[in-house]
Amino acid sequence: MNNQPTTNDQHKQFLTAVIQKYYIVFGPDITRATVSKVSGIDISAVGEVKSFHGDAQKQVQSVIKEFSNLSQAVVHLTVQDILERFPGYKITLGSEQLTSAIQI
Amino acid sequence: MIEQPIILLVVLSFLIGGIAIYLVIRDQEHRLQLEQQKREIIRKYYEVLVLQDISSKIGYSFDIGSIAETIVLSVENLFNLSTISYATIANEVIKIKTFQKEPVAQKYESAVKNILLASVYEVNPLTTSYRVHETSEQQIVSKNYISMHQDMLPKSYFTIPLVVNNVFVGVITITSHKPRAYSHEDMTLLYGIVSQAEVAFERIQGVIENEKEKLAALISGIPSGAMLFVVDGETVRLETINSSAKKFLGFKDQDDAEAFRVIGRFGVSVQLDKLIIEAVRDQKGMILKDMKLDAKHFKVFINPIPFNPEKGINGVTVSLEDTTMEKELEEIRESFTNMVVHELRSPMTSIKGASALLLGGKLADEERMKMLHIVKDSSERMLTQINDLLDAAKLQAGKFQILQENSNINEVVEMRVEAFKFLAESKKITVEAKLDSSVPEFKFDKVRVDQVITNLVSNSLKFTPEEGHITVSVEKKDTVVQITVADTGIGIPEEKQAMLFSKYTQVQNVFSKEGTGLGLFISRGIIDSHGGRIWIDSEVGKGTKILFTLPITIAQDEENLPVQDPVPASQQFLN
Repeated sequence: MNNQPTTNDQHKQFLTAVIQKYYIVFGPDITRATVSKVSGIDISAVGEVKSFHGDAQKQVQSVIKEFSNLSQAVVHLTVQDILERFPGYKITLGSEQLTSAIQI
Repeated sequence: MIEQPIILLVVLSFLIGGIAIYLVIRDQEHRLQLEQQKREIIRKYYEVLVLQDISSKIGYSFDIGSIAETIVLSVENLFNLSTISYATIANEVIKIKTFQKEPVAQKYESAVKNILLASVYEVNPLTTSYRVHETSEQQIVSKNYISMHQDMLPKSYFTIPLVVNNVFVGVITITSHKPRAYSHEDMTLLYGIVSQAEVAFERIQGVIENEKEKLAALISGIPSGAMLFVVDGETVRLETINSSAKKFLGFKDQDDAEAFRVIGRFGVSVQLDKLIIEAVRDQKGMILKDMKLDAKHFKVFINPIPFNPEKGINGVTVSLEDTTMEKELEEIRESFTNMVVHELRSPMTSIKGASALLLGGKLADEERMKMLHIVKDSSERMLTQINDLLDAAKLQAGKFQILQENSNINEVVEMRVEAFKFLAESKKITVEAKLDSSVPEFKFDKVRVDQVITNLVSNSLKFTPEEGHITVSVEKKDTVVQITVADTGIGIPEEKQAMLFSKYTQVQNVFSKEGTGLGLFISRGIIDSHGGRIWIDSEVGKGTKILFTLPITIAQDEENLPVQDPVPASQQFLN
């Protein structure tokens, strides 16, 4: 089985999980402003991804990078929890590469 | 013909207009650039100012609560805000503090608390079981404020998590009742400031940890007990304790000695915590001259040290000096003086009484003779004791000298044993000498060695019961002669044997029943001065053997030897 997520829904779910987590951690204002720096992602008022365009993996990495600019330490402490729920994603955080669990 | 200049004029006008428009646009772009640069500079300047403020206020604090509060108070005037709060996590307690910059209702404050806690729980889900402690502070200066509507809730907010050395320690939340109150630029500016403050705090923590390690290493090697307490208001915290202090207080080296346990060991009569707070309050050191802990005595020094008094944090060092030995010696010295006075007064009283009777002139011849004997014996006893005291003093001062000449040790032993036989028989004790004819004449101080044997046999006679036996034997062993005085007396307990040759033996009730008790101390000095050795072999109930050796040194033709001053005994004795 291919570990790479393939469906748009999966990407949406993953990105929604990331964004909604940081909605709570950082607050909605800064989260919305941070996500808006990555082009091609459209989110609702509650942080749900409505649509996105472009390479999903790249967009995930870009979103994580933008949140890391706010606090890399916090992203480091929290992102693993999301990766565990969504198999097949790879994230580079500083010099470290984090990978989600193998898909069953 | 007229059309040409008109066309030219129109073209020229367009050209000039175009240039003018271009210049205006360029100028506008330039102005925008300048404006952006200016904003960037102001932003940086702000950042530097706030960071300077934070670093000057943080000082050497290592409490995350005070760090968070410092950050909060430094940035509260940068934004239009309703509340600014922080939550810190330590020891399974989440402490929340909210500063109201506008009057907010209870509902608003509850919402702020929920925002803070939601963020904390999201970063570290384990904290959901922690206790929450909440405080609030109003900072509204104006009296003419219009109270916020009861149903008003935060419309804009953002939260900055605090992470120090990869440990999540709290959050700061800024809220406003107005929607879209904060620009992205403002928010990221604050994230940047907090991030740099975290780095500064990590550095400070590193320095503090490093200094603590250095301090711990430094004081761990001190033989005195050393402790450093930090006093924060009425709270006394133990910062460092060295192994000597742990040992003195009855803790094991690996034990985690907490402040209350350490303070508890000093007991209610001392109340160390109160003394520490008192030392800080009065900024004055104090000494407890004699604190008894179990069977030991200690001198306790309590001294305040400058730490961070501006913030109400002070340090106090408490050091313990073990004075048990000193105390014991003091008691021994005191008893020794009493003993000397008693020992000298006793024969003196006899002399005084006997001479008074003699001067009365009413005694019969037999009684007069008896009184004269009392005077003679008492004065001899006094003289012996005074000589002992003088010898001991000489030994201590390093002025004791021996005069060695070729002599026969067998003769010395035999003569001394013979001299004791009369006294021994009166006590129903037998004394015998076992001589060794293979021992040649060799160099030793005949008078002083005789003094040693006299002393040893005399001690044996005091402690050997009737029907007992004392043997003084001489034996050649390679290059030394070994003399043994063995008795069938009461013996000496092992724990008291070590004290036997010290100056105040008698006081310790180790050996001597009467006299100054300096005999064995002087004997050791004499034997050491010869380069020999003296020791004991004793068992309670079975008897005692005191053995000593003298090196066999044969004198050369003395006339050919260079004339030398006698060797000060102390030079060998003290080695």
